[in-house]
Amino acid sequence: MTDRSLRALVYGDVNLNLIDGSAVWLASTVECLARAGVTVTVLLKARIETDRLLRPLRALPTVALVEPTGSTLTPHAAASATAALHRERPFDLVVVRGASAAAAMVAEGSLEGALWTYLTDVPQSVTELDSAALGRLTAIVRGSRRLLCQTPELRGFIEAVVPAAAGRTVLWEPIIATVTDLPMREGRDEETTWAEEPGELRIGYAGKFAPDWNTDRMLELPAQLAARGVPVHLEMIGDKIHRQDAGFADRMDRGLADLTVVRSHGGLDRETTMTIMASWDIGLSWRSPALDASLELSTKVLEYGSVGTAPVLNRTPMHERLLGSDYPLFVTSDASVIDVLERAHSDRGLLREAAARARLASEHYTMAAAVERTRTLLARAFSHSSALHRPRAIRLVIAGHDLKFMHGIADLLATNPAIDVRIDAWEALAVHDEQRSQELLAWADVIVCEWAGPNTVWYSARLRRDQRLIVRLHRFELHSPWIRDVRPGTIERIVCVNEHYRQRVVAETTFSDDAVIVIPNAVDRAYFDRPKAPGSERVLGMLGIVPLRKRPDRALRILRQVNSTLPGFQLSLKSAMPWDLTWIWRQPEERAFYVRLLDEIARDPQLQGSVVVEPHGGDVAAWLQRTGWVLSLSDDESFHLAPAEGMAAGCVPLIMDWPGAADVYDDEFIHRSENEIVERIVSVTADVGFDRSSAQARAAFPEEYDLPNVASQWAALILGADTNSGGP
Amino acid sequence: MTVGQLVIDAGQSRRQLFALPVTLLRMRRSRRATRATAIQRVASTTVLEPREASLRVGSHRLLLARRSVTLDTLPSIVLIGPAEFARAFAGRAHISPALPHNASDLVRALDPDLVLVHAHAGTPDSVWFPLGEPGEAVRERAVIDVRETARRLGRPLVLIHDPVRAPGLNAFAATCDHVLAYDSPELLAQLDELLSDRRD
Repeated sequence: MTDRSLRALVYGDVNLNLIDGSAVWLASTVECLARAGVTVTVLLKARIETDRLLRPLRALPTVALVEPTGSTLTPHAAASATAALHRERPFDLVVVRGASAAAAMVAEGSLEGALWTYLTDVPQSVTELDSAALGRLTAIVRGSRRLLCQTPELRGFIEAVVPAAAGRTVLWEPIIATVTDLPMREGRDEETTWAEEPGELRIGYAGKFAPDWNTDRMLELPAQLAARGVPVHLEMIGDKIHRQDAGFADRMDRGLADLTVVRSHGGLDRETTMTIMASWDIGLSWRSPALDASLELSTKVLEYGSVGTAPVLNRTPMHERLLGSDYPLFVTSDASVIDVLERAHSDRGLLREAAARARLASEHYTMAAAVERTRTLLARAFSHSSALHRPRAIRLVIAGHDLKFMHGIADLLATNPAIDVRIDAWEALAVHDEQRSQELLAWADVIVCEWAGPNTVWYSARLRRDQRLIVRLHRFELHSPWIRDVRPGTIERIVCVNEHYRQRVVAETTFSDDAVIVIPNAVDRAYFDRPKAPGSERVLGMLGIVPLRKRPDRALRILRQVNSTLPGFQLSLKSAMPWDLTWIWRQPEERAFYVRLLDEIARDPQLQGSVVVEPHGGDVAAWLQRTGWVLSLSDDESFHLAPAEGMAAGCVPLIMDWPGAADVYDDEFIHRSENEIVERIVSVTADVGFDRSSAQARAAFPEEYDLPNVASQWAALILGADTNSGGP
Repeated sequence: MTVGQLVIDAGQSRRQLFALPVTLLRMRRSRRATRATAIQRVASTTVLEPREASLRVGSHRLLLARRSVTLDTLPSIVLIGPAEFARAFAGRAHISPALPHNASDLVRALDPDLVLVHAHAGTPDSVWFPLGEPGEAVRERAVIDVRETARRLGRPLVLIHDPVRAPGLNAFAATCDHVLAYDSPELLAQLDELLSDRRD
């Protein structure tokens, strides 16, 4: 990370005078950033009426609060105010919560490259996502440097519906407030002294009061439980009542005022809230089934757990992952909440077990843990500062038609204060906006051409003597005419992604040995580092099956052989199809190959239920979670990112020995034949155990391919004093 | 005219391609009089040899599974669901299991009596994993495509739902023609009734 302290602005489209989950999120986020060493400016949506949530922030020396001068800020006004503050003194990151505010900030334009957007108020299923909502979401994603996602589920959804989200999403999980000197109820920490006699059951709820949160029905629980002989004390904390439903609001107002039913505390600061929570046996997070498909995790569930209070909540896949499928206080239908509470009252052991489980689950979400994660996140997102001091930043243009291998590197270079980055995005290999390219050429000190194609020829023909040209050559360009059409003496460096291709470039072109260097491809290890899904150990994955040199036919033979020994394996082919790529489909040899291949899949009963073709998209990281083994069976590759991405994701790579493979990957993962690959799958599954091999593969990920390390090499190359031309 | 020939012709003419679903529907109805089965119709699409297919069809239809089957008089179902369910329903209908990449095309080619989506299709050992997990857009998209295809053909889409295990299908459930509870003791009888309605 940069040596200086980062500066952040945080804006949430929420009124901090009212307490609900989004207001609590804002306070936690600011505190977390500040504790991670960031200087934070908080732009408030509304003028301060109560400092219940702001008091802890005022105590942090690196946090400044900015109140709106007039009325509550609209999204547009918030965007204008943020942009004005950014112009005064630029922020490294602008964290914004809320789709409307984020859309306004993207549209404002001047915050490009700084926006870190947190979204929950977006449709959370494809069924609910109409084209207008998708367009809006896509615009927000494209305009954001990072997408902060509250849960892996939300992250996976956004990546799947907006391909541009690939590489931009990061987890920003719920954060539990730090509460010091929490008075623990007697026996809360010690299982042996937990009250054994069922007395009054103390239950409570903290948060907003809304119909889907069942808060009106919670008021009926004391009477319902009393009818079963269970004495209950109910407490509620909160001051935000959903008033769009008049009947509901009326029930809440009357219920909260009835001292025979509930002790209502109103809105409280977080420390007091959690202190009171700690006195409850049970915290309620029992909600309408309509919320069971939500992609958000309730922070209050974690807060209950953190203070040793057992949550009662709906059984959902997300809650099962959090607390275990055998968590004893899941509600599975509206009626059974009474059953669950009655059981908890009569069986203190159950209560004790549930509280312990919830406390354990909450540990991942403490402020201390979040601060550590944030430090790591920021360290990866901001370039190491340059030791070289220059009168002005080097002006770098990155030009190319397909920047998928360069996007992450460019993103990091742009955070380096010594480099000013602009992109010349060509529409196709040889199609570009010539006027824009001319303008960028006139502006640049250094040009990096991604792919040694027509872009390289164009820039080399016009390069000034005081400019430097660096070209990255991947693979196919070596067999194309362009590399031989460049103006002699203009290319300072050819960058290859492996040694095999470096040697081929030296042997097959007139570039000198020292002009051709290797900087590996980059993999954002942290982005792919996600837990494996159950069942992934039986899934072979192939990322990209076109063109035929990728050899998907080998994958079919491997699948058949594996299944003949260990039935139940699947093959997942995640790829564009050959007919999607016209330049492939029009080649008779390619076309005939895929027709044969698909015919084999379609006709062979052994393959019919075992091979699935997944659409090509931005959800590769989620796909890798469901994939146990990544196949790299090509005749020829320059690097092949898939095995490296797979290793970062805990997949076991199975690499056929294509020329140069040993320069890129460890011998352990390289195989000489299909039979060797089959034997490896069988032996790992039957003897070693997949989990162990998966962990080993994850640990063996080559550090030098990690994005920040690769970006550092590029920064050194771009900033380096070495300008020896080795070009022809 | 065979279905296979229709498909070949559709590949050569945009007009015939657009008219294909209606033409197939008409053909299906006329064949029903002779008690031809849906599976038989699939078999007839396989008359295309690979080389011919590559030159004249050249599309995602190549992803359709091809099987040889025997003739009978059972109704037909395209199923997105677990193999155990297919076994439990065996004898009541011809069940054609669909894969995520060919489900819509299978429905289009078979024009079945019912299209069934079972919430338990998405178990970890299934190619439909993780259908029904909240936020799993790829699988949700696949079943939405199936729903749209079924609607175009006028075929009912039935969801056998488990909202606890598959809450990610809740929004989808609201758009299905019928939603049945997976754990209802009447489930098979309810499906029999739906099939019976279709064949009356």
